[in-house]
Amino acid sequence: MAGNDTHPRGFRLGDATVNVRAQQILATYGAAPQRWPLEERGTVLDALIQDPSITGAHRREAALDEVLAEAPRHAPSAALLTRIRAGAVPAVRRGWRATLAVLFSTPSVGFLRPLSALAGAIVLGVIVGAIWAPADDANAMAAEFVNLAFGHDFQGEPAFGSGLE
Amino acid sequence: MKALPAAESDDALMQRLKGGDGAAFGELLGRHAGAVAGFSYRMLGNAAEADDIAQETFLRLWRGREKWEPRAQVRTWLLRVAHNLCIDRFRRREVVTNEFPEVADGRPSPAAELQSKQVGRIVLEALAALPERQRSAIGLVYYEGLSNVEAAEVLGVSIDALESLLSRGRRSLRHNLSHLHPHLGEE
Repeated sequence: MAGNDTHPRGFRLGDATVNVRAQQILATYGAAPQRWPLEERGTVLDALIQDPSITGAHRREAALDEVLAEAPRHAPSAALLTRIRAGAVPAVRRGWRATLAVLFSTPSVGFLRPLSALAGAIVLGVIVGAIWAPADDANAMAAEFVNLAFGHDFQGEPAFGSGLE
Repeated sequence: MKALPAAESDDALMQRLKGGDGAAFGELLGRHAGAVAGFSYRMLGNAAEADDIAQETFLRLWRGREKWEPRAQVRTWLLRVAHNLCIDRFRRREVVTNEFPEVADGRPSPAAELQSKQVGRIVLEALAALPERQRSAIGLVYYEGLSNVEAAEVLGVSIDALESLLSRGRRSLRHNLSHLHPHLGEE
């Protein structure tokens, strides 16, 4: 826009309206040109150079910018970034659950779903049977095993002097 | 001398994020967490609450990644979410100024105010005394460096409405902070 003396809103440099708009921009966006609307930056800079009456407004807004810059800043800590990341991207998703999710969500390997249910049921049955087998039944099974292996004479502890020593 | 690899654009990172890429999320977090937390801090005046807002904002980015529209800019989207969350907090607090006493009341002596820390606190209090939307507008344009188009998009207002919020906000700040700088009282 520099070198173009026509204001984007149709004003002409040197017009009172341009000065009014330049003052508006200063009062709205402050004294730093990088905050001014891009398409009006050149016009305001030109107005600042050509009209000394605007420099008072510029100085006043620069003072406010300077004071506002004193506001304390808050930067996120490394702990916060870690917490956000851990909260958003659960670790388990990157491990075995992600693999399972891929397997069971892929149509070409969808047959794994009933197979896995069957395998799961078998494993569960074995575990439940092992844990919940009644103690008496377990003893009976053990006695049967001994009978089959050693005959009916081998029952319990042999007595001293029974001839089996 | 070996040239550094060019930084991946936000759009490219968002494409990776849509596929569930945690590393892309980490990169976006590193780039924009400062703006989100800083903006929220100036809005709420409380570091712990600002951290909560930052966490919730990025959580929403992660959850909504699959529906991401490339038309939006990541930073603008994040700041809009953070702004809305801050406004929700204001509504819940009811009287936000409880945490920020009015600057005009019981001003400390000028000598004490010149202490940098105290000046910072006074500025924060003056910002907190502004109506929410004026504070948001100044936070976005002055502190986060958003263009007028971006800031208007975040706030969901026209450029003219944004300029009105900015000029009214700065006028109040000039008035409330005039004792801190000799040129601030000039008309």
